[in-house]
Amino acid sequence: MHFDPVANLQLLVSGLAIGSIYALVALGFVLIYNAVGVVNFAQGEFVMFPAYIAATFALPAVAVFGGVVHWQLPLIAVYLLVIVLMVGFGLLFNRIAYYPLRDRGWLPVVISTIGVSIFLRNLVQLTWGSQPLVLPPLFPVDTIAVGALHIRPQDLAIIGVTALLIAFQYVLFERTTLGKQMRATAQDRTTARLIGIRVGRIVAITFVYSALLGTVSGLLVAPLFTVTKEMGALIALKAFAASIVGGFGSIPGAIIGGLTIGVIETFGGFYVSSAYVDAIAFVILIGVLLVRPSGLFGERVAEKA
Amino acid sequence: MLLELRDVVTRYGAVEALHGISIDVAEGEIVSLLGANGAGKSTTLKTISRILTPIAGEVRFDGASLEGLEPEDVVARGIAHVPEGRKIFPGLSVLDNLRLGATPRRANRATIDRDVDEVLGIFPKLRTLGGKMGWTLSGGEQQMLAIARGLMAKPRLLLLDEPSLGLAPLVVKDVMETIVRIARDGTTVLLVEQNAHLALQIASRAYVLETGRVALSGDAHQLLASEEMRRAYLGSAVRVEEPTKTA
Repeated sequence: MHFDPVANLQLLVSGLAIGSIYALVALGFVLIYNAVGVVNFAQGEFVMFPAYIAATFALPAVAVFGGVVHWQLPLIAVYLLVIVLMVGFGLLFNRIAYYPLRDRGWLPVVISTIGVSIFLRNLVQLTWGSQPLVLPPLFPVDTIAVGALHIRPQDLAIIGVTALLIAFQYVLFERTTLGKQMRATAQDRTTARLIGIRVGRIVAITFVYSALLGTVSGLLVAPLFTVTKEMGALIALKAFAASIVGGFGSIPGAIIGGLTIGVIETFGGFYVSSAYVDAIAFVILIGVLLVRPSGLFGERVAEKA
Repeated sequence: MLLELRDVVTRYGAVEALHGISIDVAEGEIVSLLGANGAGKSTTLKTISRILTPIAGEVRFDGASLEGLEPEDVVARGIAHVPEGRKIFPGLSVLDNLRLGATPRRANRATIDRDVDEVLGIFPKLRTLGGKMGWTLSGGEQQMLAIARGLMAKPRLLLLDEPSLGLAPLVVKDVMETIVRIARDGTTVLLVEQNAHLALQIASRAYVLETGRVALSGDAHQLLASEEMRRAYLGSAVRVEEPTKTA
C-alpha cells in the first residue's frame, strides 16, 4: 500500500473530529466522577436524548406518540432550545437520580444512573418508535476543498467547538471562583462543606454541565450518524475507554484519551479493517492497561489524594 | 456563653459515640478538649460543625440553636472547623486554598485579597509559598495553611482538631504560639489535643473526655496539677478506673 499524505491528513481530521466527541463525553464522565465519586452510566443517553429532541424540532415531519409533528424550526433555534431543555434535564437528573441517594454510598447511585439509562432508552422507543431519524446537516455542502484535501465542514465544526469548550473549561477551572469551588469539591467534599462551599449546588452545576457536554456532542455528531436509541451507548462506551486510557479522574487525560482513540480507530478502520473499527478502542484500552495501568495521566494521584 | 453543648448525644453509624456531653466555651477563651483515642473529641467537633447530626441534646452558638443547619450554614454563622489531618486541598495553590476559606462571607475579590494578606501576617512562612500546590507542602506548612484557611472565614470560634499531630516538636511549638496569638487577637478557640500537657499550657480551661462522657473538667492550671490528670494522661501508664469528678 503506498503512502498517500493527502488521504492520511483527511483521516487525521476525521479522527480528531470523532475523537473530540469521545473527549467531550469522557469529560462528562470524569467531572461527575470527580464531584460525586460515581460513574454515570446514563452519560450515553445525555448524548442520544438531546439528538432526538433536536430532530423532532428540526425535521419537516416526525412521528411522535403515533401522531406527526411538523415543526421544522431553524437549526440555530433548535440548538438553543435543546440546550435550554437539557439544562433542565441536568437539574432534574441531579434531583431524581442522585440527590435522594447522596448519603448512601456509591452503589445505589450507580444503579440509579443505570436505571435512568434504561428508562430513557425505553422512553425514546415509546415516543419516537424504532425508526432512526436523520438530523439535517448544519452546512449545505458535504465536503470543502482545502488545497488537495477534501474535508467535511462538520468535522471542522466538531473540532472547533470542542476546542472552544476546552478553552472555556480551562478558564472556568483556573480563573473563576466557581471553578475553584468545583475543584475543591472534587478533591475533598467534606472539607469543602466545612469551609462553606455549597456542595449540593456545585454537584447540581456539575450534572448540568455534563449534560450539556453530552448535548453538544449529540448535536454535533448527529448529522454524521443516524439518531437511534443506541447511538449514545457506543459513544459512551468508547468515551469511557478514553477516560481510562487517559487515567480516570484526569481532565487532560480524558481529552488526550478521547482524541487518541478517535485518531487510532479512524486510521485502523482505513488501513486494517473497517469491520473492526468499534473493537479498536478496546484494544487500545487493554494495551494501555497492560503497559500503564494508571492510564496516561494517572500518576498524578497526589492531586486526588 | 459563646458556645454551649447541653447533654449532646451523637451516633457514629450504629455506635453511640457521645453519651450526653455538656461543654461551655466563653468568648475569648482557649478551651481544650482532651482524652485518649476514641474518647469522642473529634466527634464533638464534628457535631458542633454538623458533619454529624446529634440525636439528642442541644448545641447553641451565640444564644441560637444550630439545630437543622448544614455544615455550610454553621461556618457562615461564625464557627470554622479545622479538621484532623489538616485536609487542605492538595490540587489547589496555597493562595486558592486561602481564598476559598472566605467562601461563606461572599466578599468581593479585593476584600478577600486584603484579608489573605492580613492572615499571611500571622503565618509569615506561608507568604513565600503562595503559588505552590497544597500537596507539595510539609506537614507543618499544611497545618498552618489549614488554620489560616479557617481564619479566612473570619470566625468568632475556631475549632482545631489535633493541630500538633505528626509534627516535629519545634513546629508544634510554632503552631501552639500561633494559636495563642489568634486567641489574643479575639478569636475564641476550642482545641482538641492528644498532647494534654501541651494543650493545658495554652488553654484557660479544659474538658477531659472518656468514652464519650466528660470525665473531668476545670481550670487548666488546676488540671495540670491534679492527681487524676497526672495518673490518666501526663506520664504514668496507670489508667484511671472510673471518672471520679465532673465539674
